[in-house]
Amino acid sequence: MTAIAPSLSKILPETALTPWDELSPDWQQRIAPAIAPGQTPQYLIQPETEEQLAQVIRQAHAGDRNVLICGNGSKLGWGDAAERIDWVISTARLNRLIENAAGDLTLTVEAGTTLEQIQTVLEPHNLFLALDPAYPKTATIGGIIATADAGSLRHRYGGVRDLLLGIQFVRADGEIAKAGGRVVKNVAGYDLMKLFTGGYGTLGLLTQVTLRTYPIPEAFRTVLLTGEKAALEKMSLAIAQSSLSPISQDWLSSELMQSTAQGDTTALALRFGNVEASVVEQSEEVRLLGQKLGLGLSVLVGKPEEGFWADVSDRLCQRTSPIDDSETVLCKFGVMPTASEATVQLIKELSSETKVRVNGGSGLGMLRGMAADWDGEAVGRLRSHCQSHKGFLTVLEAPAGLKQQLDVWGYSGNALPVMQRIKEQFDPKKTLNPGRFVVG
Amino acid sequence: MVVAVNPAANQAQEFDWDAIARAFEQALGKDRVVRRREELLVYECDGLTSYRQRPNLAVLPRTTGEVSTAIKLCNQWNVPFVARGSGTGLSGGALPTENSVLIVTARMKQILDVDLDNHRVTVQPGVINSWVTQAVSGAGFYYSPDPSSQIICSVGGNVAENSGGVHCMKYGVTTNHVLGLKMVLPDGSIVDVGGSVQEMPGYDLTGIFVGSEGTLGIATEITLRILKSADTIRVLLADFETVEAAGAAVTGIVGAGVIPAAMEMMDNMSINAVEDVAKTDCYPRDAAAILLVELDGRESEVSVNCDRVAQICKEHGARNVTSASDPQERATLWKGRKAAFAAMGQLSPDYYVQDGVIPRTQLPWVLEEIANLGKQHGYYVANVFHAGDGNLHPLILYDNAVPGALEKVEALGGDILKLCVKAGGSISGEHGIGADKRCYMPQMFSEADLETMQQVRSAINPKGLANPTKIFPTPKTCGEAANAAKSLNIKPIDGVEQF
Ligand SMILES: Cc1cc2nc3c(=O)[nH]c(=O)nc-3n(C[C@H](O)[C@H](O)[C@H](O)COP(=O)(O)OP(=O)(O)OC[C@H]3O[C@@H](n4cnc5c(N)ncnc54)[C@H](O)[C@@H]3O)c2cc1C
Repeated sequence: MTAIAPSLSKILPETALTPWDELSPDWQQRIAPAIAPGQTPQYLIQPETEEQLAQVIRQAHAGDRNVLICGNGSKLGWGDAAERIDWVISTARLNRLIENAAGDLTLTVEAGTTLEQIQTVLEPHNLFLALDPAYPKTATIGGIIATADAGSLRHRYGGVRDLLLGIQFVRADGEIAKAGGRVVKNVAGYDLMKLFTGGYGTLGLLTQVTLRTYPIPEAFRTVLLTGEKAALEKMSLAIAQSSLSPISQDWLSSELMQSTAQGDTTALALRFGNVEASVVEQSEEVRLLGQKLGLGLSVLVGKPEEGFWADVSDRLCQRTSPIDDSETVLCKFGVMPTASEATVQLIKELSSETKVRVNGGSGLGMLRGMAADWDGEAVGRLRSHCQSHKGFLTVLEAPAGLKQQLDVWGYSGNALPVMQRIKEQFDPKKTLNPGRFVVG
Repeated sequence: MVVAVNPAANQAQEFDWDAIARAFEQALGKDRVVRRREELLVYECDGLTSYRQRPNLAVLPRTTGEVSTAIKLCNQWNVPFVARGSGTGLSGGALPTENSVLIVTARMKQILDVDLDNHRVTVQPGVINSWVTQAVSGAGFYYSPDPSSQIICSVGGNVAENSGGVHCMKYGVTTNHVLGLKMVLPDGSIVDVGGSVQEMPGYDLTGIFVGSEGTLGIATEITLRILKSADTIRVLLADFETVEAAGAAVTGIVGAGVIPAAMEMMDNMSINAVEDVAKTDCYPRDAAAILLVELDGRESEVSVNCDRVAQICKEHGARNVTSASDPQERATLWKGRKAAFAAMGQLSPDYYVQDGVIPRTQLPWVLEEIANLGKQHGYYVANVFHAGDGNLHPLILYDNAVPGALEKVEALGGDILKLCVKAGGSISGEHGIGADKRCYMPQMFSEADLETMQQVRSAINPKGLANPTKIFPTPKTCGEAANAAKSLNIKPIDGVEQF
């Protein structure tokens, strides 16, 4: 259908440029939910160097081409569908390790590096990147940052924003710029890292990032607590008032627990990662506390422990029903931490088949439910519950029909004009991920 | 050179200060406005006394609404404004600019909300850092970022500078503990960013406001995360025959998977200064360096890690390792470290503190290079620093009475910053850029980098009224030689240690 644009072929190797028609069905499928129904982009462009990427963006800027930005496309379904996309640009081939400064606990990589690659580099040094986001096998670090996607480990290590020390990026006009640095402490200049974290690629294309790494804890142990709602809530408060230092502290819904074959009721899951003696001592204290409150308790160690947390993440990431392949929704939400359990309950009332994980420390959670259960009304009810607990609800993945009915982001604050002015400054022509994010 | 967006400040404009003052008095009440020259004197500098400029007017609002009214008036009269907390900043951030109104948060001192169950506290910006911990310590909580000025600096100032402290190695700096802000923007409008719950959809505006040094508006309510106090705290003191050995021990400790709450190093010159002056009898005078390591957490982890750290220090050649758990004994081990800056003040008529960051593995050669630079410039440089996160505070000893000394010291300080950048680090770890270091920004950032940061400023502060001329280099501020007759002393504050 399309002849290769001569200008693009001049700056890119042939393998970096694929017309839509020649794209693998798999890529086409990943891209489709990010684009308004019925539209198709011209190319998928996969530059191999930062300079190539910058040149492509310069051309896009000059020619008013709209670009959809991705890494491996694992989360292209998140956000609104974009309008009039000309080119899809993937940073997946920018995947070089720049520097693993093990002694400094920092890592610099190109943005297309997958989390899995990063962990493989770090593991021999007994280090890891303290993130357990969605789609950990395919997700690139650039995409993880752009979606601010952190999982259970946030309880001890914080969100993506707390781990990102420096960025280099291609701006909407094709210029290369950077902010932050490669050191763990740095207050020079504005903290643009924060704007790019969770900015959904609307301010620029990340090319290189520096992250804080952590030593892998010597030992892990997970305690799963189940029982009466009131007793569980008491337990959760007792933990918040104690000096126990779990690395994860999640409320997991019965449906999610069932899918991991570790029970069939709502559980409070505490993961300890520390020196062996402390992991043992802390789990023992939890056991005694749990006993006093009459809670059921099981302790996981070794492979089953690791497997359990991988399962939790996998189940939340399962895009279609394992039973009949039917469609699902994925939402991210937040509430005040003390409202976490009540939120799990409400979700259960709205749809008993929904899998839910809420971090008890931050009140941030994810739910995966059947699309049939989560219509506009159910989403609306849950959203107003979250907002009444000072939080929010964002619909990440959902059938196009549902997304069209709703405001998927659910931003309820008064700072939208400020966000729009920032977008206007960074990308005045609105060529980067147009229409995908809160700012339009 | 990138030119700062600064239309207001660049205009050679005549201001009718009498009329402006009357307008402020009318809108806010006389008791909120300071206009007498003598009374304005206290506001002419912050902790970096080398820069002085008297504001034309100072206002002391009590509420968000009053801050908004004040800023709207500034817009009406097209006068720049500068926010000021406690004025302890060390980079001239709160330094009034020519023809400006100073908005002082000193009367905004209310703790608005304490929610222990959710680990959140909301305060007005004039609340003093240590009050937050005082408000929650009874229940076993504390506010973690602990600049050594914490008994006097304001939370608003901490937010604006993204301040650090001794304990930020394990727990992070201010930005990691701020959940949300109420901001009065440079046009006087009020917005709420972030909140009690993190990761609201949209850009992380909280993240961009923290550390923006008052150039994007004034924070009038701040929601902070508090932490549970540790059960056990233990401090280890180790002394080494070479700086390399101490540096290698730091790397060894981190490499063994231990993240101490704090890890501080002092070199031979600082040790001797402290022993001469404070006579703590803690630190051996012949040691090339001492290392202080504080571990906290549950007893079960602290005891294991403490043994490990001691072992690692010995493996790296530590001659002695002492440890203490008892609060009094811990204080003794810390005493010399805390007395270090004061000791310098007694050793030398004047001293200048630099603030730079390097990757911590580069410590040994950077320290050697700093000593060489000192020799080249003809000054002693003592080193006291946060070794855990590579945040150096080289202290240059000099005598301001010697003509020209100051310029030389400034040049040496600048060379040290360039060295930090060369080592892969930063020109500021915690004191900020302000008026002091803006001319060094191009060392670290390209024109495109600075231009991109300026886009944020243009978006939020388009008229350039909020704290103009700070952070970014301008031809006016960096083009010519620094103004003469400066003294680089830091104002001593009773009861406040310097780190
Ligand atoms: C003895 C001593 C020790 C110190 N130790 C440390 C240390 O260990 N670690 C460290 O990081 N710093 C340290 N500092 C530096 C200083 O204390 C910190 O930068 C502190 O956060 C400044 O707070 P302040 O209230 O004094 O702010 P000010 O000096 O009044 O202002 C600082 C900046 O914040 C802006 N500002 C103030 N309030 C607001 C507001 N509400 N909204 C927006 N902007 C605002 C001002 O415009 C200015 O740019 C030390 C200073 C001294 C004098």
